[in-house]
Amino acid sequence: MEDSLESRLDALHQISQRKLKDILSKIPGRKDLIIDPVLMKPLDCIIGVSFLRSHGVDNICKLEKSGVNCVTSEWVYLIYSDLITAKRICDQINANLQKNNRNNYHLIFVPNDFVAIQQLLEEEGVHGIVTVHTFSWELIRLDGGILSYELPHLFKMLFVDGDRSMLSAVARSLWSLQLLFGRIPLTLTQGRFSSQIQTMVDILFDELGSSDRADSEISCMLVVDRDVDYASVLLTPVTYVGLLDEVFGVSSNSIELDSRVTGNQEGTAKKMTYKLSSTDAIYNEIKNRHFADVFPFLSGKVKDLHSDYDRRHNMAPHEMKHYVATELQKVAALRTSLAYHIGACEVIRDEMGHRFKSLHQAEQNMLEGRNKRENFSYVEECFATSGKLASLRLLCLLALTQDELSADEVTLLKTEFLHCCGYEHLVAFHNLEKLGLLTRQGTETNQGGVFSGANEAAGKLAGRVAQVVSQLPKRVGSFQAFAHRLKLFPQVSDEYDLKHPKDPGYVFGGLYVPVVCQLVSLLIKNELSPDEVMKLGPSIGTTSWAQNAGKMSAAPKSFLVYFVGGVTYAEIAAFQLLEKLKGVRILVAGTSIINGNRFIQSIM
Amino acid sequence: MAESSQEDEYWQEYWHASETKAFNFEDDQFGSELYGVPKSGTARLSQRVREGMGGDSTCFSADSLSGFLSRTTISDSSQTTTRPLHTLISEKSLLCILNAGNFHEKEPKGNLCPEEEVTILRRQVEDRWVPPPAKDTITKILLGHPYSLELYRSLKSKAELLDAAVAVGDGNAMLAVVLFLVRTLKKSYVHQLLRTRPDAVAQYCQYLSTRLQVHELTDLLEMLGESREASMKQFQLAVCGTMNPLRRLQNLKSCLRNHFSLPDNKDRPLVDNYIKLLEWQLAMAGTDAEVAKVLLGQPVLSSLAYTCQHHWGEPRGRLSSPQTLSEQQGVSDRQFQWTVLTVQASKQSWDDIEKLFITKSWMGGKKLKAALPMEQVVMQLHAHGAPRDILNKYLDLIDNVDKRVKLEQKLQSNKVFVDVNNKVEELENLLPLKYSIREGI
Repeated sequence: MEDSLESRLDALHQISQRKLKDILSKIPGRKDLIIDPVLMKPLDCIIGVSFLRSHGVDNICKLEKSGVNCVTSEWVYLIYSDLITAKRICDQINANLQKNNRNNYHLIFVPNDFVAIQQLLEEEGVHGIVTVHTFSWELIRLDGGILSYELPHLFKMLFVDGDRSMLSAVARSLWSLQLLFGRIPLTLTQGRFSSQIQTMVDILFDELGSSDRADSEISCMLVVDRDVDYASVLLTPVTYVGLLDEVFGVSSNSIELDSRVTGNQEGTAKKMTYKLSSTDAIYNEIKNRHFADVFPFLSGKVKDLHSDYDRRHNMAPHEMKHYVATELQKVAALRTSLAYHIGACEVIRDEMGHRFKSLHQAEQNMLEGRNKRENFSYVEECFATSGKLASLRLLCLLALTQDELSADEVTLLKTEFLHCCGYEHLVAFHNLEKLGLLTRQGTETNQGGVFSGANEAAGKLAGRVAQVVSQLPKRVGSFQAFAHRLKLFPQVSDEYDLKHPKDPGYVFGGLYVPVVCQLVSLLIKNELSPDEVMKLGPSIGTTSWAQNAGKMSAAPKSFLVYFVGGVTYAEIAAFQLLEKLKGVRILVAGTSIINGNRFIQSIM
Repeated sequence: MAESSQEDEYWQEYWHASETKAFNFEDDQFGSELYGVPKSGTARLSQRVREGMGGDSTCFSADSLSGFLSRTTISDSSQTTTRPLHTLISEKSLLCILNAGNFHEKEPKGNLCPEEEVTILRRQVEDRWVPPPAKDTITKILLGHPYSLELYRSLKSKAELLDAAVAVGDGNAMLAVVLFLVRTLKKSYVHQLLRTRPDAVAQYCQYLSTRLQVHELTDLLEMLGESREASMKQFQLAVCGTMNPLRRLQNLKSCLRNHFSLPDNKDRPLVDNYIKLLEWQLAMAGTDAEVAKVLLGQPVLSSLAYTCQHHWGEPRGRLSSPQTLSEQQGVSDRQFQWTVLTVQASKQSWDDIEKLFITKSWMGGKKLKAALPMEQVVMQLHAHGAPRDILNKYLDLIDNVDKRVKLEQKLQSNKVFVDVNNKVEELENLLPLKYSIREGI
């Protein structure tokens, strides 16, 4: 049964559709639509081919380097607002103008139009020739209560490059969400970008208007910067969908299945896109299960299917007729779904199985700050045996959790990595330093410098932790001190059953509770004031909270958690467990869905 | 019915297996049984499900864009019934969202008499040449409304404008202001204003770097004392600018000379080694196109593997000798041994491997000089199909009995079982081994 909160989310894609429709209807006649390939998957969540056809689009094609093949005289480009893509389009238009062709050119930017792009259009001489439109889509509902703004590049833009040009679009999406639900009375932020977004949302309310609803269906909104919790990105998840994302790479909640899963031997190159949706009963059951619990469940379902098959064999003709009319299609769909999930499980097992145990052990040792020597050589071993991404990811976890890692040790690991993967990756290490992930906190940060900005939070964390450390047993690192303070390490006893989890830490095999999940859990408990809870988070000095509708006495019952820089499937599973355990509603949103591999890719 | 009894047997077997192994995600029986089910079981299971599935039973969506363009099949089981928009959001709120992108002149509140309207209009005309408060202009940029920066002509007003943009935190507004400053101020003033506003600098640097305006970027960064950032940008450009190894070498050389010249730059040795590596690769390839194809642009360890493959045993000091490359690049012992081990194992040169790890001292004794854990060595040898007696030789070098037994289990060899049986009292350690041996044979 869907509650009103979730069904109201249906409005989001309808509003997005409406916005795109309004743009397309401003362009008269038949048109060609040239789409940035990276927009394809997110657009699939909003519109379909028939939608475009019914709004005058004759021809749909991908933006390609080779050029365009348009059939009409209205060229409509639909792209992310990105300078390099815009330049490529300028080149295509100029090439077309050179041939004395007279076409009308339109550019639709997702999600925003930028000064830098306007300047480029002017310099390239196409200003006035192209008509610019902005398609600021709404948050895209991926599945159930999961929302994403689908800006996969935002993490790097913000945290590595310090490029804030997308923040206003993010703010706008939070503003319109609150027009839909009503203005959320309590807003909490963690991190510098989050608090700036909040400032912008306030301006938007003042300038553009507010909701006419008296009260909001969501009682508390928590906006957090991704750097509040890197561990949740770097650790290996154990839930089914978390591992699907590790192995297949989920994008816009769909995965590409190859012949390993579909079993199509003929035409092996043929891939299939499979949409993960909770309306699929099988997927809904297994998505958040511990991986070891998935297969027994699937085999049970197969057994049911077989007994059903047997039953069919003994049916009288009229029963059979009834069966074909009512159940056959359902059974067939179930069968397909089962086959794909079983196939996917096999691939996950083959890819992860051989190294899962040692990886899990190493992650545990790192988190707890134990066996430093062993962890170090495990990372070295990874360089030789695992890929670039996996190696660098572990290196990051090591550096994040072991603050006694010396500069020499970092240099050794860096050199070994470069020897193994190529010197061209030197930049990746520089980027990691900007994130505050490699340097020892407090020693190498040149305070006040422009590009140590990213280290600020880390430095503050170290300072804050220093006070705490004195109260704790000696020889505890700052990461461990912080984790103990927020109780991020679950108490694992014999009753700790990963199959029937009672604690959000199950998403990492009982090793670690995601920081933001713990903060929400504290807010639900209502023992501390929201202000005090926020102070427990790592980003001291950049937290804020604002209450708009008088004093709230009861604990909040419905939440919106928004991750600036992306949220992981492990975190989503943790929140969904928390919902069940505490009887609250939590919508989880992010600028994208991130995982450890995509995180590393973005800094390389 | 032969088939059904076979099926029964299968399920029996399957359930037996899945019940006893129901929860051992962490069991690593060397890849054969994982995640609660034996591998053969899952393969058969999925085989069965797929059989008779046909292609027609799936619900394929023909409406998907990516499916339409890439000609892949899309399986979409979600049939959503969405509620109409007007039941979800009020008309007023909806219009508010839809109009947010469009610019409308703010209408004055309430009805105005003509005199009042004239006053307002007169004030607007008079104010045409007075810059509006910086904050208002920044808000316009944030909202995507038309704006003009031309009136901010005094240095003070320009500084206020920049501060207002930084305070709101909108990157687009910051860049708009910085570009305006660059257009209307001389460089030293631009730098002076930027010096204390790091957020704006980052925004501008990103723009310069995307537009490949390298000189301005380097100037700015050097001025701000961010020479490390500047050198990294240069390095990135030198490397990404070209795939041609000769060009890249030239780029790197000038990059090293101009931007990594400070002796305390910790990345200097790395860039230096990168240059040496490219030079070495070019020298090795010479005019041989085949060698160039496999060697150029490869990382250090792949290059080292190449020399181990083709130039093993050549005297130290010669260009093509593995030791020469390894010393030049400062390859760690660990990585050197691993590379040699992998190459020699693939060539089945067990003697060379022995020489790598075991030295005979002058007293006639043997000395181990391994930088790698012996378990890893054994595993790698096993992976390349080393014979039993070779494996045993290295297994014996593992001091830790526990580890040795575990590894032995993995390799399913009986040798240590007998050997260790005499040494260890704790028999329970051996029970799983016994079990696996019984099953294995």
